[in-house]
Formats: sequence, C-alpha cells, structure tokens
Amino acid sequence: MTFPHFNRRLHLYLSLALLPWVLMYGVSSYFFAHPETGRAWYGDRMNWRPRAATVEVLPESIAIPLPGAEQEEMRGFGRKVLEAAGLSEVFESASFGAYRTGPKQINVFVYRFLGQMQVKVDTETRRVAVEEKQFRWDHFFTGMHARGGFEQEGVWQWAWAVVVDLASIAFPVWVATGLYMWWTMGARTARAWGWVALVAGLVSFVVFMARL
Amino acid sequence: MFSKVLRRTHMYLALFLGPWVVMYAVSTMAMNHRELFVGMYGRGPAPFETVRETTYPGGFAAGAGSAEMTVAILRHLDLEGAHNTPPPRKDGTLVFQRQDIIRPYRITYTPGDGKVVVERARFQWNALMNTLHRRRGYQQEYALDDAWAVIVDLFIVAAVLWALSGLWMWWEMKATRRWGAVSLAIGVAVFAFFLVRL
Repeated sequence: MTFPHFNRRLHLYLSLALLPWVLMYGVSSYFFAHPETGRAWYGDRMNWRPRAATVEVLPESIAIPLPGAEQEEMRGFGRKVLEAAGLSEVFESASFGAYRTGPKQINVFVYRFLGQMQVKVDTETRRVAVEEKQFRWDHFFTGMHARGGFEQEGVWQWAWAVVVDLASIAFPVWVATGLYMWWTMGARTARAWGWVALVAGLVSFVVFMARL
Repeated sequence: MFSKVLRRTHMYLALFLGPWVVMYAVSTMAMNHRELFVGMYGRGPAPFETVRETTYPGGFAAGAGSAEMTVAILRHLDLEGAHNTPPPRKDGTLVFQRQDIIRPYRITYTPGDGKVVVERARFQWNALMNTLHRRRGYQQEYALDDAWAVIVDLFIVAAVLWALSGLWMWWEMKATRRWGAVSLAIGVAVFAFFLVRL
C-alpha cells in the first residue's frame, strides 16, 4: 500500500466509523447557536413531572453539606441521596452532580441521553422529591454534545469520554489527510481554488483572533 | 456533474474551515480533560488584574439604562466591542464585561465619583479554549461578531454536509464498499449502544 493510498483510506474509514458523532456534533451545534429554536418548540421553562421515590424524608444518617461545601463533598452527598431514593443503578450509566439551587435546597441532577431526573432535597425539612424531565429534542442534542470528561464513575462513561478524545483527534487527522489529498490532486483549477479557500480561511481566522 | 460539485464543495469548505476544525478539536480535547487545567490553574474563572483606572467625564442622566452606559464607557475607553449589559447594582455601581477572546475585560463604573476601573482576566489556556469553542450567536451589535456567528453557522452546515457527502463519495467507490460498510456499521452500533446505555 502506498502512502497516498493509506492516506485516502484513513480519511475514509475514520470518517465512516465516526460519522454518527460528526452528524451529532453538527446538528447539536445548531441548537447551541440558535437556542431560540428550542424555545419556540418547547417554551422557556423546563417541564418536570413527579416520579415515585422510595423515601420521602432523607435519613438522619446522611449529613447535609453546608453552603459553600467543596464539589467532592456535594458529589458524595448526591451519591447518598440517590442511594436513599432507590436510584443507585444510575451510577454506572448516568452522570450526576449535586448543586445548591437555593438557600434551603440542594438538587441532585441525573443525566442520561434519553432522560433526565432531579432529586430535590429540602435542607430544612429533609423532604425528598424526585422529578423526571420532559423529553426535548434540543436538550437531547445539546446534552449529548456537552457530555464528556473523566470525572464520572463507570466504565461506559469513561468509554464515551475516550470516544470524544478520539473524535477530537480525528478532526485534525481529516484536515491533514484532506490537505494531502488536495495537494496531490492533478487538477490545476482545484489546486488554485484550494489555495484561495485555504488562505481565505487562515486569514479570516487570524483576523478574528486579533480583533474579537 | 453532481458528484464533482459535491466533491469540490466538500473539499473547498474543508480547506476554508480548516482552522475552525482544528480549533474545535483542540478545545474539545481541553474540555474533555478539564481536570488537568484545575491542577494548573485551580477551580473557578480566571482571576482579574487591574490594568487601568480613569474617570468617566460628565456622568449619566438619571434613568440612563445599562445598554447606553456600557456603550458610552467603552467608547470613552476606546474599547468598543462585544460586551454584556447587566443592570447596575443596588448602590448604582455598574460592573460589566467586555469580551475578548484572549483576555476578557471587567469594567467597574462608580457613578458617585465617575471612577472607572478596567481589569483584565489573567491568561489561561482553558479559558481561551472555552471562549473560542462557545462563542456564537447574533446578540451583539458588532459586524465582526456577526461575521463569527455566520462562520459558526457555516461550520454547522459544513459538518452535516461533510458527513452526507462523504457517505455519497464512499458509495461511489466500489473498491471500498465492504470495509467502509464495516467501519460504518461499527460506528453506528457503538453510537446506538452509548445512546441506550448512557
């Protein structure tokens, strides 16, 4: 196999394997750039509906973090709340985080691609309420786009983050292999217009960097 | 003819948007490994440091809105450009940010004495990557910001087009159909698995 041949095949097969991610990142970027579309479809407010929980009051054994608690402490609390609410199955598959949403409230958000939940804890009365979020296409795509990182537990969560890394590497690989294919093209016109596109892109990018 | 147009569009778009492709890829990698930057810079936003102190002459009429005040102050500072327009604080102090890809500004205006303090965020790689990755939209009244937003939209269209035109080009090459189908099937299966599992 010659290098040009290898180069073409790498460009092609890598693209086909990562095609769902390219499409997902493309479509989801639209909803980030134009949030008004999602608002027009579903309105401004997020709709949550109650879901049955195994506990209504948080056991006294679970200490409620004080305001300003470190992220790790909040996460540990979130884990205990989810266990108490009978939702420990989410640890392997869902990302979660605990956040103080008011002076007397901590919410534990649980995120999965196809459904989100929150466990609301009243820090004074220790009452627990579990809610499910209504599915929204815009949030489905933006959530998928934004998911990444190695902070969450679970092998599949890590696997997703590894694929995100792989996609991040693939994009520059497509640029490099594409540049090589363009450079080795015989057609003079394609070479000339390619230069125009390349230089225009580089100059615009540099101007944006300097002026924005 | 259709095939040639598709191939050329695929290629020229990629050549023009190459810098954005690399930028989005590098910034995605940085965000995917954000814990490395916590080790470098700590948690939270980049700290600001004062770079200039001056006085805004004349003050503002009672009832002047944030939008009017921020634009006038930026013009006075010769820093016109994309910025936010938060309402003044209870004591009347106006604190707003002037966007800048490399090092954003924070500007504090105190109406009592007309003092203006200009601060700039300390440079941090992760902040730069975040800003580049997230900058978008047509909310600002500056042509350059709109131009950036147009390129972001073009990138979105291009990403979908690269995927679909790539599929078309692959299907036209009989020699690569079998291994291409294997690659595609693996990609779709893994994606579907993640979709259901995570």
